[in-house]
Amino acid sequence: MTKKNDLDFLTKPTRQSKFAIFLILAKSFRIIIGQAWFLIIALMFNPRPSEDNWLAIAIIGITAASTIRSIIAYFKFYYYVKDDELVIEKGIFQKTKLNVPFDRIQTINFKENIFHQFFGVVSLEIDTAGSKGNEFEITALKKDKAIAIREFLIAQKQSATPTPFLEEGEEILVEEQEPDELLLHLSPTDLIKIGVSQNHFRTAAIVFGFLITSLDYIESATGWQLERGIERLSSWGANSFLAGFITIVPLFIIVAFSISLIRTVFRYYELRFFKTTLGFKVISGLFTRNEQSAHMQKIQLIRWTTNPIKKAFKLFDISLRQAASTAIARKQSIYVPGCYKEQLNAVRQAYFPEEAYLDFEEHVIHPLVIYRRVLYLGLLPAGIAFLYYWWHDPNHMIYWEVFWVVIVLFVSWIYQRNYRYYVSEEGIRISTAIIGKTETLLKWFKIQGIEIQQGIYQRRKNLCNLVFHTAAGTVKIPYIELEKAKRMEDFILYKIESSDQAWM
Amino acid sequence: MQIQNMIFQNTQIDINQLPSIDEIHYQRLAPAHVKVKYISNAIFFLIMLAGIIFMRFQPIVSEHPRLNNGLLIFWLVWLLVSFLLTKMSYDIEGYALREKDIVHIKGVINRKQIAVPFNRVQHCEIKAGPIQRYFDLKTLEVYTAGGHSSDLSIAGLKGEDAQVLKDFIIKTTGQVSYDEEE
Repeated sequence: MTKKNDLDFLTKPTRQSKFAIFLILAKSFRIIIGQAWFLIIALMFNPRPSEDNWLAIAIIGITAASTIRSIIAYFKFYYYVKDDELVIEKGIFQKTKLNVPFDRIQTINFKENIFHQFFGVVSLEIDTAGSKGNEFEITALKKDKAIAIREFLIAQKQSATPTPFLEEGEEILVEEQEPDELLLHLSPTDLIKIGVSQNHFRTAAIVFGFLITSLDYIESATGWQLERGIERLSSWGANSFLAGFITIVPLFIIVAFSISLIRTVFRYYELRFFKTTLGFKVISGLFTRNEQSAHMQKIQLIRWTTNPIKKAFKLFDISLRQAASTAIARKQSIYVPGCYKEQLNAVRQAYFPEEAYLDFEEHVIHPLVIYRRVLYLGLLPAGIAFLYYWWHDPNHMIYWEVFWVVIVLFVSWIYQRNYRYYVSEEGIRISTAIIGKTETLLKWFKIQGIEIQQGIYQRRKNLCNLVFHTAAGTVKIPYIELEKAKRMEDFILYKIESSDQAWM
Repeated sequence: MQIQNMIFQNTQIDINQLPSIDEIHYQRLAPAHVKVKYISNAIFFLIMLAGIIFMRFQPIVSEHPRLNNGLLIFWLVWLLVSFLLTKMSYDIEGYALREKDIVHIKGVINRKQIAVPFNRVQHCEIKAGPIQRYFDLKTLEVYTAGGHSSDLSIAGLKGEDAQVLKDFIIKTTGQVSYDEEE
């Protein structure tokens, strides 16, 4: 144990370092900015500031209120040790008293951001074994005090389990995560790689939707005459198709690209991916720090994707799907962008250890899937569109419709050609690729129910879709031979029914 | 991650020896089920007809008599198709209880066969609507963790059959056992 004298302050209620006031203030500003950044940007460029005096008042008001709140919060915050517990008392309106028994403490982390470094303090975070929300934080402590507390707490805990701890010196973060193995720490270069390789089409669609829905709002807030601008731009674009194409498309690409990049930095800044004793954990975020963890038992299937740009960087996005009702399934799955083969292999190894040595039999899906897709996604919509336009203008040309059908045909052909599923004794791997590539790994015993679907056409051709229902969503293999599907169903049912492994 | 400390076993499995889904003999639903379906269909179409007739006297529609006639034809076609499909789907729908799972098959146009192993069943329920109650029919719902799409719902079971099925599933899955206290 360390020198007793240093720890005297622990016996009676103690306040944090005075600098905590600034740090609490900085934190609340960060939250406010994080919530309303687009409003602030819009206001900065406001060409008519005179009309918005109330906004200045509101900003001053919010600042004053936050400052007062921070000061009160500082004076109402105490920590001390009593019996075998660390006690934290806090709360302005609603008083809270948190008791952390020493033996429940899992990890003690120090966190420093730029402000902390400036004031020479650290933030102390205590993680307990309980569920989420059982985290305790002391915003600002003199560094020597913090170290003393940590040593004291570890010494108290050590009697039960001696835990070796490693120092990890980082620029912004000094942290101790004894049992967690750090698999991945995204560097700024990685972050840029991820930003560059995002799905820009999707971002463009989101931006477009956002613009359309919030056009009025942005206009009234900023005084920009966007609608007129777009109209002028599009009429000009219509007049000279080439000129419009040359200006609008690159503009859109640049906007989508930079938004993806910014979004990536916001969300995945300082991303760290851990392998914990029970599963995996991801921490990331610039303004809002997200922490997600998944227990290996709860992970139902894993999926990883890559696209041509990611492939060039040798990157994968991994998602670990956890058991959840469909409504919250998205939140329950852990998503780690920018993994390399190494991390992917670690995840695969943890989920499906047998994958390394089992034999996987390669299968393809039936080519008839191409015609079906062309019929439903190509010919049918194109036919309806053609009829619609032809009704209005009998001279309507069929170019675009034909073009669409050809594209669908081409895409479906690639889809069928690249679709592979690999069947083994313990599970399946499915690989689909059109532009990007998605692979799914699923163990048989995680399956909840098996479904064989057959449309009229499929019945005639003795084909079917084989669907696996899991607690983290469904996995579907389209257009496989009925005989094969039935044999697989028999085998998988046998596997599930003879397994006494808990699926969760 | 836990390492399982169990005796390593790797007995070879002859795929052809496995119980096959092909050999299943599906149990048909109670004949009264068709009646229930017909009645609920009839109620639905009567309400729709009332709506169409009501619209006939509204100024917007009455100015376009062809529109209303079109609606009536649409109603008639839909009615015929749906009664036909009801009969056909009755002939197809069936369930099979096996030692370790339950299999349900249904669907005229898109046929679906779902198999749910008992050791993946979360819970099961017996339900009955007013028309079903009149004919003493029940609906058995088998819930899994796989979400709505993998839940089994077998409508048109005879009251006692539904209870027997439910008891069997509950006994096999070992969820609740009230017998222990006796």
